[in-house]
Amino acid sequence: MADDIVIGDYTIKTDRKYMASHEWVKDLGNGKYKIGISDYAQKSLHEITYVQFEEEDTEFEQKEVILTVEAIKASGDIYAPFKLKLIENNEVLEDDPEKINESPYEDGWLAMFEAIEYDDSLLITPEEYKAIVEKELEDI
Amino acid sequence: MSELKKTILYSWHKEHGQIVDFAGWAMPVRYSDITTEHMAVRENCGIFDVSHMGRIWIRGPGAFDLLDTLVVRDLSKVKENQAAYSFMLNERAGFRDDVIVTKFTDEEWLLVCNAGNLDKIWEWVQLHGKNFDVQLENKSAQSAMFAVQGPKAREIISSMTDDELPGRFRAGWITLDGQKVLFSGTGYTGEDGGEIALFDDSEELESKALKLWQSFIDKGAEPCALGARDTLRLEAGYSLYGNDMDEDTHVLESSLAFVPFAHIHKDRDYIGKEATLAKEGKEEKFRVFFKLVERGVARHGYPVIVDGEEAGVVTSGTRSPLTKEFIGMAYIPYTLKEVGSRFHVQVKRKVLEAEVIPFPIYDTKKYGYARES
Repeated sequence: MADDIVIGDYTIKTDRKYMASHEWVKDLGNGKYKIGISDYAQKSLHEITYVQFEEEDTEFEQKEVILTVEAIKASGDIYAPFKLKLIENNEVLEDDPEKINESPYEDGWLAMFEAIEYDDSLLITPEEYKAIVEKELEDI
Repeated sequence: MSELKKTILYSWHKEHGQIVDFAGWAMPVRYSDITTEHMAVRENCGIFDVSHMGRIWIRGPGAFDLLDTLVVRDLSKVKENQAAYSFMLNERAGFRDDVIVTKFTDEEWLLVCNAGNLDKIWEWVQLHGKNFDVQLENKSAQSAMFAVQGPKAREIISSMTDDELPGRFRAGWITLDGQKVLFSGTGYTGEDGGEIALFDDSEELESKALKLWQSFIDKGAEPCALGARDTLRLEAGYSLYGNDMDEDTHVLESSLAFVPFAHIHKDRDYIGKEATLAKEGKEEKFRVFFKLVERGVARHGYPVIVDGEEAGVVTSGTRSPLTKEFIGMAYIPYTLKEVGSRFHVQVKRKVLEAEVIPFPIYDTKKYGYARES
């Protein structure tokens, strides 16, 4: 496994794919995936106070909002990377949404789903995601 | 952000905090994190730079008459060295601003207004000031102002002065850390403490202000920014101009038209009186403080739903850092304004139930200026 990418205060895990909208998507095998937000995303949102989940077993089209992460001063919609069926929300976040800030890549995962029509057009590599973060940091 | 206005402490804010555009001002939204800053004010002491607010002196034989015409509160009831919260209305009884007027004598008053309204209010005061024998001075740029808030605030301030601190909603000049400042027992967090204004026409203002700011931090006051200011004022149930009311909000539908802030029947023909009295008994909506019965974050602009129809709007909302409840303010139909009544809010993709509650959200025996310490 390659080392994690570090840009300043931000870590990018190299064991998964990313989306330009700052989600990570991890392939669990058997057509199942986990989604969460990047370290950069949680640090940009700051203190996360609530996650609005959708019903488990719901099907979503690619680019549809599958949940929303709310922080004190901002919120972020999480998009379906491809056509999928939501199978599990991370219910720990109901009482401890701050887990997303503490552990964005592990305990703070958001949802698990099955691919209905896998399509990698919205997925990018950690290196490609790094370029997006660097560009955003330049623009601040 | 070069076009944004800056307070005298901008360099400090830039070095220590995250800067955002607030009503045309480059102001910090957080230094550390909002919850830490918030809890420092509820449990200890926090200091806010509120220099962006406006400070206008009104002096002369006509000072009382001018101000009593401009605000809806009956200023004849305000004593010397008293700071009085009230509202300036337009002719439609909408809000020009919410302000604090402090009386030193009948002929000397200080008006403190919101930062985003300063230009407008300064013009307004000058316009109406022509009809009265007054001298007006806008000293906003030649002064700094800090809000020092929390259960330990008075103790910290007292440790920096030999003078006795004026009480809640009282004001007076004191020597603080060797500098003459105006102390007012006011603030906008729900906690005890005060606001300290340093007036200085010289170029030393910046260094003096920075020295005073640093003294407070050295004594344990947590630097707090606008993010915490917003969550604190919301927990206390206080309104934010531009979010919760504006020029189009009728004072009788605002929930703010009560004594002593507003004496709508006072004898004086204050600006907006006719439109205020014409609305009595005809209110259609009302602004309430609410909590969501289910989880969710209601935000400014989200629709209020009653019987399946859009029937109002959320003006502010957050998750209370103290109680963890999801709270907010909203305009709802007047008939639903009583505590305990229920309505719904469209929160993103869900319609969530909300309940009208009294404010503040916290237990006043444990938190706020009236706590039993």
